[in-house]
Amino acid sequence: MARKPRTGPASDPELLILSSLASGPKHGYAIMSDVETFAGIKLGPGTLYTAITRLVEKKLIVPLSSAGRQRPYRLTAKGATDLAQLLDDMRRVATIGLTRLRPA
Amino acid sequence: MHPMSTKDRIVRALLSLYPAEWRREYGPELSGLLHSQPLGARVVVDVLFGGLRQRVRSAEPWVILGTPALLAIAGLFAWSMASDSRNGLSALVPPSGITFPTYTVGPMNSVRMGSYELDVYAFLLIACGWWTVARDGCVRLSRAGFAAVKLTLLAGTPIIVAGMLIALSVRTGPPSALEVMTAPLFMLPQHWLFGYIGGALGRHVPRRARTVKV
Repeated sequence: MARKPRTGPASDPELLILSSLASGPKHGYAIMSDVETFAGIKLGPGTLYTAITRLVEKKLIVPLSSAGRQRPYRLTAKGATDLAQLLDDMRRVATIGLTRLRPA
Repeated sequence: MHPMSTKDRIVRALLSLYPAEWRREYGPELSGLLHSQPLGARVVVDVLFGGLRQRVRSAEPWVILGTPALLAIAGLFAWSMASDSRNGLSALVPPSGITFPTYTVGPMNSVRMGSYELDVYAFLLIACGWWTVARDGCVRLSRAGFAAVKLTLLAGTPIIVAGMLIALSVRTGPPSALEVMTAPLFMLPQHWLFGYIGGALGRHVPRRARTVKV
Protein backbone atom coordinates (compact mmCIF):
# COMPACT_ATOMS: atom_id res chain seq x y z
CA MET A 1 0.00 0.00 0.00
CA ALA A 2 1.17 3.53 -0.74
CA ARG A 3 2.64 5.67 2.00
CA LYS A 4 -0.02 7.86 3.56
CA PRO A 5 0.58 11.60 2.94
CA ARG A 6 -0.68 13.19 6.18
CA THR A 7 -0.85 16.80 5.05
CA GLY A 8 -0.25 18.90 1.96
CA PRO A 9 -1.79 19.15 -1.48
CA ALA A 10 -1.42 15.41 -2.18
CA SER A 11 -3.99 14.62 0.53
CA ASP A 12 -6.64 17.04 -0.78
CA PRO A 13 -9.92 15.06 -1.17
CA GLU A 14 -10.88 16.88 -4.40
CA LEU A 15 -7.54 16.07 -6.03
CA LEU A 16 -7.77 12.45 -4.89
CA ILE A 17 -11.29 12.04 -6.29
CA LEU A 18 -10.34 13.63 -9.63
CA SER A 19 -7.29 11.35 -9.83
CA SER A 20 -9.46 8.33 -9.08
CA LEU A 21 -11.99 9.26 -11.76
CA ALA A 22 -9.20 9.76 -14.31
CA SER A 23 -9.25 5.99 -14.89
CA GLY A 24 -13.01 5.93 -15.58
CA PRO A 25 -16.42 6.48 -13.92
CA LYS A 26 -16.85 5.21 -10.36
CA HIS A 27 -19.47 5.43 -7.62
CA GLY A 28 -18.78 6.64 -4.08
CA TYR A 29 -17.69 3.34 -2.57
CA ALA A 30 -15.40 2.54 -5.53
CA ILE A 31 -13.77 5.99 -5.25
CA MET A 32 -13.13 5.42 -1.53
CA SER A 33 -11.56 2.01 -2.16
CA ASP A 34 -9.48 3.29 -5.09
CA VAL A 35 -8.15 6.29 -3.13
CA GLU A 36 -7.22 4.02 -0.23
CA THR A 37 -5.34 1.75 -2.65
CA PHE A 38 -3.35 4.34 -4.59
CA ALA A 39 -2.86 7.03 -1.89
CA GLY A 40 -3.23 5.12 1.37
CA ILE A 41 -5.86 7.61 2.52
CA LYS A 42 -9.22 6.45 3.84
CA LEU A 43 -11.70 9.19 2.94
CA GLY A 44 -14.63 9.38 5.34
CA PRO A 45 -18.13 9.29 3.74
CA GLY A 46 -18.83 12.87 4.88
CA THR A 47 -15.53 14.15 3.47
CA LEU A 48 -16.10 12.22 0.24
CA TYR A 49 -19.56 13.63 -0.42
CA THR A 50 -18.57 17.18 0.63
CA ALA A 51 -15.81 17.03 -2.01
CA ILE A 52 -18.10 15.39 -4.60
CA THR A 53 -20.69 18.17 -4.07
CA ARG A 54 -18.04 20.85 -4.65
CA LEU A 55 -16.67 19.10 -7.75
CA VAL A 56 -20.16 18.77 -9.25
CA GLU A 57 -20.82 22.48 -8.54
CA LYS A 58 -17.54 23.38 -10.24
CA LYS A 59 -18.59 21.15 -13.19
CA LEU A 60 -15.38 19.12 -12.90
CA ILE A 61 -17.34 15.87 -12.52
CA VAL A 62 -20.90 14.84 -13.45
CA PRO A 63 -23.16 12.13 -12.06
CA LEU A 64 -24.26 9.45 -14.52
CA SER A 65 -27.75 8.04 -14.45
CA SER A 66 -28.05 4.75 -12.62
CA ALA A 67 -30.87 2.40 -11.65
CA GLY A 68 -29.26 1.55 -8.31
CA ARG A 69 -28.70 3.61 -5.19
CA GLN A 70 -25.08 4.36 -6.04
CA ARG A 71 -24.64 6.80 -8.93
CA PRO A 72 -21.31 6.69 -10.75
CA TYR A 73 -19.44 9.95 -11.42
CA ARG A 74 -17.47 10.83 -14.54
CA LEU A 75 -14.69 13.36 -15.08
CA THR A 76 -15.74 16.18 -17.43
CA ALA A 77 -13.45 17.65 -20.11
CA LYS A 78 -12.92 20.68 -17.85
CA GLY A 79 -12.17 18.35 -14.92
CA ALA A 80 -9.57 16.46 -16.96
CA THR A 81 -7.90 19.70 -18.11
CA ASP A 82 -7.85 21.17 -14.58
CA LEU A 83 -6.48 17.92 -13.11
CA ALA A 84 -3.74 17.68 -15.75
CA GLN A 85 -2.76 21.32 -15.14
CA LEU A 86 -2.71 20.86 -11.36
CA LEU A 87 -0.65 17.66 -11.50
CA ASP A 88 1.74 19.26 -13.95
CA ASP A 89 2.25 22.22 -11.58
CA MET A 90 2.77 19.83 -8.67
CA ARG A 91 5.29 17.79 -10.68
CA ARG A 92 7.24 20.94 -11.61
CA VAL A 93 7.44 22.05 -7.96
CA ALA A 94 8.28 18.52 -6.80
CA THR A 95 11.06 18.18 -9.39
CA ILE A 96 12.62 21.51 -8.40
CA GLY A 97 12.31 20.73 -4.69
CA LEU A 98 13.83 17.26 -5.04
CA THR A 99 16.67 18.57 -7.24
CA ARG A 100 17.55 21.22 -4.69
CA LEU A 101 17.45 18.69 -1.88
CA ARG A 102 20.03 16.46 -3.60
CA PRO A 103 23.60 17.03 -2.34
CA ALA A 104 25.80 18.85 -4.87
CA MET B 1 -42.33 -3.95 6.29
CA HIS B 2 -39.15 -4.56 8.30
CA PRO B 3 -38.71 -2.72 11.59
CA MET B 4 -35.87 -0.17 11.60
CA SER B 5 -32.57 -1.41 13.01
CA THR B 6 -30.32 0.70 15.23
CA LYS B 7 -28.03 1.28 12.25
CA ASP B 8 -30.97 2.49 10.13
CA ARG B 9 -31.90 4.95 12.87
CA ILE B 10 -28.32 6.26 13.20
CA VAL B 11 -27.99 6.66 9.40
CA ARG B 12 -31.33 8.44 9.25
CA ALA B 13 -30.35 10.77 12.11
CA LEU B 14 -27.02 11.54 10.45
CA LEU B 15 -28.67 12.29 7.11
CA SER B 16 -31.14 14.63 8.80
CA LEU B 17 -28.17 16.88 9.64
CA TYR B 18 -27.79 17.70 5.94
CA PRO B 19 -29.96 20.34 4.21
CA ALA B 20 -33.12 18.89 2.60
CA GLU B 21 -32.06 19.99 -0.90
CA TRP B 22 -28.70 18.23 -0.51
CA ARG B 23 -30.40 15.10 0.85
CA ARG B 24 -32.64 14.90 -2.22
CA GLU B 25 -29.58 14.93 -4.49
CA TYR B 26 -27.04 12.84 -2.56
CA GLY B 27 -28.98 11.30 0.37
CA PRO B 28 -29.64 7.82 -1.13
CA GLU B 29 -25.98 7.50 -2.17
CA LEU B 30 -24.60 8.49 1.24
CA SER B 31 -27.15 6.27 2.96
CA GLY B 32 -26.11 3.32 0.78
CA LEU B 33 -22.44 4.00 1.51
CA LEU B 34 -23.05 4.17 5.26
CA HIS B 35 -25.00 0.90 5.18
CA SER B 36 -22.15 -0.80 3.33
CA GLN B 37 -19.59 -0.25 6.09
CA PRO B 38 -19.33 -0.45 9.90
CA LEU B 39 -20.47 2.74 11.63
CA GLY B 40 -17.48 3.53 13.83
CA ALA B 41 -17.04 6.74 15.84
CA ARG B 42 -14.67 8.12 13.17
CA VAL B 43 -17.24 7.62 10.40
CA VAL B 44 -20.03 9.15 12.51
CA VAL B 45 -17.91 12.24 13.35
CA ASP B 46 -16.89 12.59 9.68
CA VAL B 47 -20.51 12.48 8.48
CA LEU B 48 -21.55 14.83 11.29
CA PHE B 49 -18.98 17.42 10.22
CA GLY B 50 -19.94 16.87 6.58
CA GLY B 51 -23.53 17.75 7.49
CA LEU B 52 -22.39 20.84 9.36
CA ARG B 53 -20.28 21.98 6.40
CA GLN B 54 -23.22 21.55 4.02
CA ARG B 55 -25.49 23.48 6.41
CA VAL B 56 -23.01 26.36 6.55
CA ARG B 57 -22.51 26.30 2.74
CA SER B 58 -26.23 26.39 2.03
CA ALA B 59 -27.15 28.83 4.83
CA GLU B 60 -28.03 32.46 4.08
CA PRO B 61 -25.40 35.05 5.09
CA TRP B 62 -27.71 36.48 7.76
CA VAL B 63 -27.88 33.07 9.46
CA ILE B 64 -24.11 32.55 9.30
CA LEU B 65 -23.37 36.03 10.71
CA GLY B 66 -26.43 36.17 12.97
CA THR B 67 -25.71 32.93 14.85
CA PRO B 68 -22.39 34.10 16.37
CA ALA B 69 -23.98 37.50 17.07
CA LEU B 70 -26.84 35.75 18.89
CA LEU B 71 -24.37 33.67 20.93
CA ALA B 72 -22.30 36.77 21.75
CA ILE B 73 -25.36 38.73 22.94
CA ALA B 74 -26.66 35.71 24.90
CA GLY B 75 -23.19 35.34 26.49
CA LEU B 76 -22.99 39.04 27.36
CA PHE B 77 -26.50 38.86 28.74
CA ALA B 78 -25.67 35.85 30.95
CA TRP B 79 -22.40 37.48 32.08
CA SER B 80 -24.01 40.84 32.95
CA MET B 81 -26.84 39.12 34.83
CA ALA B 82 -24.36 36.91 36.74
CA SER B 83 -22.11 39.82 37.67
CA ASP B 84 -24.95 42.09 38.78
CA SER B 85 -28.31 40.38 39.07
CA ARG B 86 -30.17 43.61 39.84
CA ASN B 87 -28.66 45.99 37.28
CA GLY B 88 -27.27 43.47 34.79
CA LEU B 89 -30.09 43.87 32.32
CA SER B 90 -29.97 47.67 32.60
CA ALA B 91 -26.28 47.56 31.65
CA LEU B 92 -27.05 45.54 28.52
CA VAL B 93 -30.22 47.41 27.61
CA PRO B 94 -29.51 51.07 28.47
CA PRO B 95 -32.09 53.86 27.93
CA SER B 96 -31.85 55.31 24.47
CA GLY B 97 -31.95 58.91 23.40
CA ILE B 98 -32.01 58.14 19.70
CA THR B 99 -34.93 55.75 19.36
CA PHE B 100 -38.58 56.24 20.18
CA PRO B 101 -38.85 56.60 24.02
CA THR B 102 -37.52 53.15 24.76
CA TYR B 103 -34.31 51.24 25.44
CA THR B 104 -31.57 50.14 23.09
CA VAL B 105 -29.48 46.96 22.92
CA GLY B 106 -25.92 47.90 23.91
CA PRO B 107 -23.96 45.35 21.83
CA MET B 108 -25.99 46.24 18.75
CA ASN B 109 -24.99 49.87 18.99
CA SER B 110 -21.30 50.25 19.65
CA VAL B 111 -18.34 48.72 21.39
CA ARG B 112 -15.83 50.81 23.30
CA MET B 113 -12.24 49.80 22.60
CA GLY B 114 -9.88 52.00 24.57
CA SER B 115 -10.76 55.55 23.67
CA TYR B 116 -12.47 54.52 20.41
CA GLU B 117 -16.15 53.84 19.94
CA LEU B 118 -16.46 51.22 17.22
CA ASP B 119 -19.69 50.29 15.55
CA VAL B 120 -18.77 46.62 15.26
CA TYR B 121 -22.38 45.60 14.81
CA ALA B 122 -22.84 48.11 11.99
CA PHE B 123 -19.89 46.47 10.16
CA LEU B 124 -21.59 43.11 10.65
CA LEU B 125 -24.79 44.45 9.03
CA ILE B 126 -22.86 46.00 6.15
CA ALA B 127 -20.99 42.69 5.68
CA CYS B 128 -24.31 40.84 5.67
CA GLY B 129 -25.74 43.12 2.95
CA TRP B 130 -22.53 42.91 0.94
CA TRP B 131 -22.37 39.11 1.18
CA THR B 132 -26.07 38.69 0.25
CA VAL B 133 -25.58 40.63 -2.97
CA ALA B 134 -22.10 39.26 -3.75
CA ARG B 135 -23.22 35.66 -3.26
CA ASP B 136 -26.50 35.71 -5.13
CA GLY B 137 -25.35 37.99 -7.95
CA CYS B 138 -27.39 40.99 -8.98
CA VAL B 139 -30.25 40.98 -6.47
CA ARG B 140 -32.38 43.93 -5.39
CA LEU B 141 -30.67 46.07 -2.75
CA SER B 142 -33.80 45.95 -0.58
CA ARG B 143 -33.08 42.23 -0.18
CA ALA B 144 -29.71 43.12 1.37
CA GLY B 145 -31.56 45.48 3.74
CA PHE B 146 -34.02 42.77 4.75
CA ALA B 147 -31.15 40.31 5.26
CA ALA B 148 -29.71 42.77 7.82
CA VAL B 149 -33.15 43.05 9.46
CA LYS B 150 -33.36 39.26 9.76
CA LEU B 151 -29.85 39.23 11.25
CA THR B 152 -30.95 41.68 13.96
CA LEU B 153 -34.11 39.69 14.69
CA LEU B 154 -32.00 36.54 15.09
CA ALA B 155 -29.28 38.22 17.18
CA GLY B 156 -31.89 40.05 19.27
CA THR B 157 -33.65 36.83 20.30
CA PRO B 158 -32.00 36.72 23.78
CA ILE B 159 -33.25 40.27 24.47
CA ILE B 160 -36.80 39.41 23.33
CA VAL B 161 -36.71 36.25 25.47
CA ALA B 162 -35.45 38.33 28.44
CA GLY B 163 -38.44 40.64 27.96
CA MET B 164 -40.78 37.64 27.99
CA LEU B 165 -39.19 36.34 31.19
CA ILE B 166 -39.62 39.77 32.81
CA ALA B 167 -43.29 39.71 31.73
CA LEU B 168 -43.73 36.27 33.28
CA SER B 169 -42.10 37.28 36.56
CA VAL B 170 -44.30 40.45 36.65
CA ARG B 171 -41.31 42.51 37.76
CA THR B 172 -41.93 46.22 38.30
CA GLY B 173 -39.61 49.15 37.64
CA PRO B 174 -37.54 50.07 34.59
CA PRO B 175 -36.97 48.64 32.09
CA SER B 176 -40.42 47.17 31.61
CA ALA B 177 -41.01 43.90 29.75
CA LEU B 178 -42.43 45.74 26.72
CA GLU B 179 -39.49 48.13 26.59
CA VAL B 180 -36.99 45.26 26.65
CA MET B 181 -38.88 43.18 24.07
CA THR B 182 -39.21 46.06 21.62
CA ALA B 183 -35.61 47.29 22.06
CA PRO B 184 -34.20 45.27 19.09
CA LEU B 185 -37.28 46.08 16.98
CA PHE B 186 -36.78 49.86 17.16
CA MET B 187 -33.36 49.39 15.56
CA LEU B 188 -34.70 47.64 12.48
CA PRO B 189 -35.08 50.70 10.16
CA GLN B 190 -31.51 51.81 10.92
CA HIS B 191 -30.21 48.27 10.44
CA TRP B 192 -32.09 47.90 7.14
CA LEU B 193 -30.17 50.97 5.95
CA PHE B 194 -26.82 49.44 6.95
CA GLY B 195 -27.71 46.26 5.04
CA TYR B 196 -28.72 48.35 2.02
CA ILE B 197 -25.36 50.19 2.12
CA GLY B 198 -23.56 46.84 2.32
CA GLY B 199 -25.58 45.58 -0.65
CA ALA B 200 -24.62 48.66 -2.68
CA LEU B 201 -20.95 47.99 -1.88
CA GLY B 202 -21.41 44.33 -2.84
CA ARG B 203 -22.69 45.41 -6.24
CA HIS B 204 -19.92 47.92 -6.76
CA VAL B 205 -16.86 45.89 -5.67
CA PRO B 206 -17.15 42.89 -8.04
CA ARG B 207 -17.85 45.26 -10.96
CA ARG B 208 -14.60 47.09 -10.19
CA ALA B 209 -12.72 43.81 -9.77
CA ARG B 210 -13.95 42.60 -13.16
CA THR B 211 -12.87 45.87 -14.82
CA VAL B 212 -9.36 45.60 -13.35
CA LYS B 213 -9.02 41.97 -14.47
CA VAL B 214 -10.02 42.71 -18.07
